[in-house]
Parts: sequence; structure tokens; C-alpha cells
Amino acid sequence: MSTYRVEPDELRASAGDLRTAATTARGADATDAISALGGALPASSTASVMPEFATAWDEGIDDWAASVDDFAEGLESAAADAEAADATARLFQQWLARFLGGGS
Amino acid sequence: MTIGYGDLRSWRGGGVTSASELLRADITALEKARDTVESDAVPAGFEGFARVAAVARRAAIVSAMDTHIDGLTSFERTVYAQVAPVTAIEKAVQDIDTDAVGQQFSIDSSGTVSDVAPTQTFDNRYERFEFEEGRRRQRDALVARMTEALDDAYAVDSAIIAARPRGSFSDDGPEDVVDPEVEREWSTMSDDERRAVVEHIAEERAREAGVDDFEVRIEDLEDQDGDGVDDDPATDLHGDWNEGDRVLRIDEGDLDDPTILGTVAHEVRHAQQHKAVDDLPWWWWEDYHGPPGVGQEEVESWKDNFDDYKTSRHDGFDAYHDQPVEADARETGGGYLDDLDSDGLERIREEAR
Repeated sequence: MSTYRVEPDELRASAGDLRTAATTARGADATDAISALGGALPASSTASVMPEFATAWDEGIDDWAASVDDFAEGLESAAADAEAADATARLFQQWLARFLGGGS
Repeated sequence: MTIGYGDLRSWRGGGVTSASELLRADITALEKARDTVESDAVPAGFEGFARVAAVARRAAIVSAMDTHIDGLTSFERTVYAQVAPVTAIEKAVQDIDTDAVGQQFSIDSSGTVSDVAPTQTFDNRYERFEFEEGRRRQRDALVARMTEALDDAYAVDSAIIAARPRGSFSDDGPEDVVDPEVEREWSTMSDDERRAVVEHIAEERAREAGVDDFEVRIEDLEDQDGDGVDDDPATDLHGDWNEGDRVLRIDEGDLDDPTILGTVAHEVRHAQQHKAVDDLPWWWWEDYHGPPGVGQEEVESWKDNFDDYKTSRHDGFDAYHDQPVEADARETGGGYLDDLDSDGLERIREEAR
């Protein structure tokens, strides 16, 4: 059974941090470094082969960042669910108070 | 790829330093991102199944990045270690060029050294002989220094290629990467010697795999009907193992490409896969004796795959490429190329003679 005893704001703060982490990872673009390396060693295998690896790493990092974004989205959904549950409970309590107290 | 002397004139230690610094900055950013996921992905208030699920998901994400960071860190260290050798090559080339000009030689981009000294006149043959001997010694000394610079350059290239990160983020990179020193050596070999090396590797790998009673043929696989026309221009066949006639065929048109050595290992692996399938236990009391590191379940998947083998022509490239026997053989061929260095090729050349 899933249980949460957290404030929705805490979940949203964590989600925000994760989205920042994903953006940071995407910014680590290996093609710049590998391009500099290939430029320094013309006609080498390093210059011809490594750019393909750099592209693969960057794609892998993009996939990794997407999975971190998914994680963040899950936390944001949990926050929204928690708020919705709280709102429902509050409405029920208000209705119950009115019902039991006989107020208008 | 062949590095020429002219190329070395553009090699720059400063560029390698910049690359190292950029890689370090990338690693720092990736470490920061990973650490954030590690610390923030599972809120303190998560309990029960939600916590277990979140922790497991976080572990998988962090582990993938850990592997990449470890590989990239090791790669960056190797790149940084090449700054001094590349700077030394840069200086050596400048010195060689300066000395060549001073000694009235010219060196073109292919590395050919030409004597550009004005025509001399001599009083006798002895004087002329002495002069020509002196010029020859000067030229040979320049060539020796150029060769040394090229040797150093190949060592740098080889070290960087060997240090490339392995791991999930590299899966989509090139599959057959040859050590630059192996590539250089291969380019100096005659076709006859290449054939001998291919046959030797096939026999050596087959012996290790317990595969016997087979033949190696190096022939034109693109025109097997011999009509002078490519049988199927849409495909580029490098090699083939035929279990029916037990012939390992290698395309002679690929002999100048050292990745063919990986193809040999790949095709021998197919022979080993067939043997493993044939050797599967028949009765429940028989023991399984498959290739090292391969479980019975995997060999059974090879059996199913051979019964329903996908071809690129009929089933599409992805179906061919991703089927179990091809994925396994590709891993074996790529691993063989990864492990083959110039010392290994030298040994094989010796044994194949």
C-alpha cells in the first residue's frame, strides 16, 4: 500500500530539483569536448570515431534526463493527488459538520 | 584512417588540454545531476510500497549515470595524459621542419623528403661520394625522427581509442572499432599476408571454440554467381558461416579493411553457436557443456533462432540485426577487435608465416 506523509509543497520542491538535475545533465554536451579533441588530432581514429560515440553518449544522457523528468512528473502527480484527497476530505468534514450540527 | 606526417603539423597539445577541460566540466555537471537525483528523488515522507518503488527507480537511474561517469572519468584521465606526448610531437615536428629547411631538404605532406640543395660541382669522384653520403645520412636522420613522431602519434591515438567509455550510453556508438596501431600495421601488409592472417585467426578461434572440420575461403561474396555483377547491391556481405558445407567465407573485397578481423571472429562464433546447439543435452541425465559464460537457456534461444532465422532481405535489417545469434556473434566480433592490439597482430603475423 502506498502512503505519503508529506506536504505537497515538499513533493513539488523535490520535483523541481529533479527537473533542474535533468536540465544540468542535458547541458553536459560531450560533442563539444570530442570536437575539440578531434580538431587537435586531425586524421586520427580519435577524430573519425569518437564523434559517433559522443553523439551516442548525448542521446543516452537525453534518455536519462527524460527518465528523471518522468520521476519529477510522478512526484508532481502525487502532490496533486494529495491535494485533491485533502480537498475531498475537507469537503466531507464540512458536510459532516453541517449534517451533524444542523447548520445551514 | 591513416595519419600522415603532414597531419602531424596540425596536431596541437593545447587542443587536447581544452578537450580535457571540457570533459571535466561535463563530468562535474553529470555528477551534480546524479547527486541531486540521489538526494532528492525520494521525499522523506514516502513510506511503504511508494518508498520501495521510488528507491528502486532511483537506484536504476543513479546506477546508469554512475557507469557513464566512471567511464568518462577514466577517458578524461587518458585524454589528459596525452597532453604532454602531443605537445612533444608538436615540438618535434616543428624542429624537424626547421632542421629540414636548414639542411636544404623539403618535406611534403605525405612525408616524402626531397633534397632541394643547389647542384654542386666536385673536383673528383671521392668528393662527390662523400657529399652524397653526407646528404643521405642527413635525410635518413630526418626520416627516422619523422617515423618516431608518427609512432608516438599512433600511440596517443591508440590510447584514447582504447580508453573510450563502455556502458549503456555507448551502446549506439560504432560497433567495430580497430586499434589505430593495428590499422596502421594492416595497411602495410600485402593481400597474401592478410589472407594468411585471416585464415590463422579463423583456425585459432575455431580451435579454442572446439570447432573442427571446416574450411576457410576468401572469395567475392558480392558476386557469388560470377557474372561480374553485384548479386544484391542493397547488401554488403562481409562474411558468412555455412553450417551445411562447413565453410567460413570472407569477402575478398574487404581484405583491405582491418574490421574484417572482427568479422572472422563473428563467423567463427556462429560455428560455435551451431556446435553448442548440437551439444545440448538430449536426455535429462546428460550435463550441459556450452561455451564459457553462456547458459543453457541462451543456447536454447539460439536453437529457436536458427530454426527461425531472420534475413535482412526478407525480414528487414532490425529483425536480422537484433536476433539472438547475431547479437551474440556481434558482441564476440566487437570484443575480439577491442582486445586486438599491435602486439597481438604481430604475434599472429609471425605464426601465420
